[in-house]
Amino acid sequence: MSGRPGVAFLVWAALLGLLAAVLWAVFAELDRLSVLMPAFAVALTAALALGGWRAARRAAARAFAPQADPDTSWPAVLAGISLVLVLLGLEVGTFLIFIGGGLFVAAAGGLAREWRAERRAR
Amino acid sequence: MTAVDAPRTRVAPPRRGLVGTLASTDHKALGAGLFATAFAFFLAAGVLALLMRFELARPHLQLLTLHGYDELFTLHGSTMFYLFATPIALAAGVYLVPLQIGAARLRWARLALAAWWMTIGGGLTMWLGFLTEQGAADVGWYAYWPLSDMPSSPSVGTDYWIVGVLLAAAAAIALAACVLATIVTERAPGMTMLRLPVFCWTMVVSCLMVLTAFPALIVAMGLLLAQRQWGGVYSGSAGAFDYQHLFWFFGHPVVYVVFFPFLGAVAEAIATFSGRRWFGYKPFVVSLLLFAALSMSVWGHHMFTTSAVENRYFSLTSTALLVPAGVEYFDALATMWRGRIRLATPMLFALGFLVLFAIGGTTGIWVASPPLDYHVTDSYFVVAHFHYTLFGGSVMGLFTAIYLWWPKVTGTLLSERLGRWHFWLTMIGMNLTFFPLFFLGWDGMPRRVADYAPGTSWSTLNALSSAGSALLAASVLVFLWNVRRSWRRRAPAGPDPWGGQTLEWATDSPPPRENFTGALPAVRSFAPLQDLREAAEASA
Repeated sequence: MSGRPGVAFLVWAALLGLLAAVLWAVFAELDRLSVLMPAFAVALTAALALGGWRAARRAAARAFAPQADPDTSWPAVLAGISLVLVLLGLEVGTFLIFIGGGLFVAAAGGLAREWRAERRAR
Repeated sequence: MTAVDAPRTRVAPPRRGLVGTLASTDHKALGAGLFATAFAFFLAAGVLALLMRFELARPHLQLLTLHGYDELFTLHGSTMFYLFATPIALAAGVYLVPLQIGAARLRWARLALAAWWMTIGGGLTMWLGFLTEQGAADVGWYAYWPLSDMPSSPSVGTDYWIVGVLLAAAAAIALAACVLATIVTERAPGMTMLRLPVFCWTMVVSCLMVLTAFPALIVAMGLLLAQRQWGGVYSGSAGAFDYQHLFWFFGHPVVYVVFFPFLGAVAEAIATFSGRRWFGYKPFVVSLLLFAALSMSVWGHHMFTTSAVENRYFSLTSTALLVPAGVEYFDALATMWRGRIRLATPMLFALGFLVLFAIGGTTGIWVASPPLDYHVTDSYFVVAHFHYTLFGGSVMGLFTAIYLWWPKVTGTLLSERLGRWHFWLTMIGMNLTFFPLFFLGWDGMPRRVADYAPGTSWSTLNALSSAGSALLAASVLVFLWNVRRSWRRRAPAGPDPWGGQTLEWATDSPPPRENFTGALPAVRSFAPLQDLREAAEASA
């Protein structure tokens, strides 16, 4: 576990799998959620573990390279607010879903511009 | 002792002022903003709690209507869990994790920024119900179906509440992903996983739990919203049990999500103020992973009385939680053993945490036993138990964290004298508020009621509890006064006022935009500054 974050994820997944196995094998608890949910957790954490290994390898090379981060990101703020409006629109009315959706598209455009500028600055 | 270069970040000149802070991608501004947001919700939920306690101080209805009381306990619990405890635990990670691992930034900071705004939006949406004609949600923080369906709770406030919960849960998942990704990808050279500071490990397990448990809440709430709009999702007793499985698969782990980070803060405080490194680091890490895994498999103990779960399994896993918890208590006591203990305010709160959480934990073992749970289920005993774990654990841990890291975050010191007042008022107020509830619950007083029969011992116990809540409110006022005083006097704290052991104490207070301007100390253990100190003592 010392240098690989993936191992921590796998230990976690193994413990969850063990508990799910005990539930299924010893107590014969077949409720679908009782089995499916830990299984879901195991699958998700395993995926994260694999992703973590790859990302860690890539990041090791670049983590200490100069990075160009914007100090503020209004498109990210807009994205957060637009999601609030879209969900609120489910209750208040369709018009708000459209407004929120439009704002989200604008936010996505802004984020794309930021990412492009970042790539160029590297 | 060799040192490594500090991580570099090329940034645009920081924009000062509130407007710049509201859109900042700097993890420190983000963390502080999220922290302030969550603390504001804590104060709001505290006001609701005070109103409930004033109502219960005497028999009969004084202040509130029955429906009004339902709204208050719903918004109190929901705000505390979804808008205060979870966001503030993650905010601590957003602020501190990059500093502790020697990173210059938070991974996916824009996602975290959007999540902050989703938390604000979710909170306002949840509270929007108070402005509607039929009032806010009245379904409890768990919103059991069918009581949360349209016929039982037709208020549009309940729909707003569901939307608010969805937003807050999605935001928590995003924030946890950012913190975990930072730990995976941004660690300084030498900072292996088994050299992560204790606090970072508690954030790792908390984030793992958020990522695996919170999706169940999103599914439960999404389906509940669909059920309320169109029907046909949940039906009959199976539907009720399905909903409870989904909800409690999230609902129990969240208790640990809001506990572990503050356990980490307490561990850092105990190590720092004992002048020793944390005892039993590796067993602690394993016990955290075991603790978290077990806590993902105990949700059925909330359903003992439904006969819809395998009680033996859930009793076994719930009782087994005692093992990792015992390891952590042993580590804490062993760290203090023969240490040079300084009883500064963070240490006082850390000790208070240990005492109060022990009461919460041991009464948890009681309710992990189905026969005892049958007796006290849905009574004030359960309310007392979880307030000892949540207030005794999370809130005492939170104040440990605040007093410990305030000098780092603001560059100023809080008053020790006011800190001690705050601590003792909190300890007395907390016990006076919640200890009588054990007796009330054992005697059969049900929770979630606004009224009770006069002329019984319940009146005295409720009056005591309400007096305690007033003391708790006073303790929070003392804390706010301390904060105001600190801001006005601005007594400089210096980079390391406590003799800290982790990397955040190796930089200025408050830290610069890039976190570290000079060379980082070499990382050879989970306490790199303690290594330096011990090396200096050895050479002297």
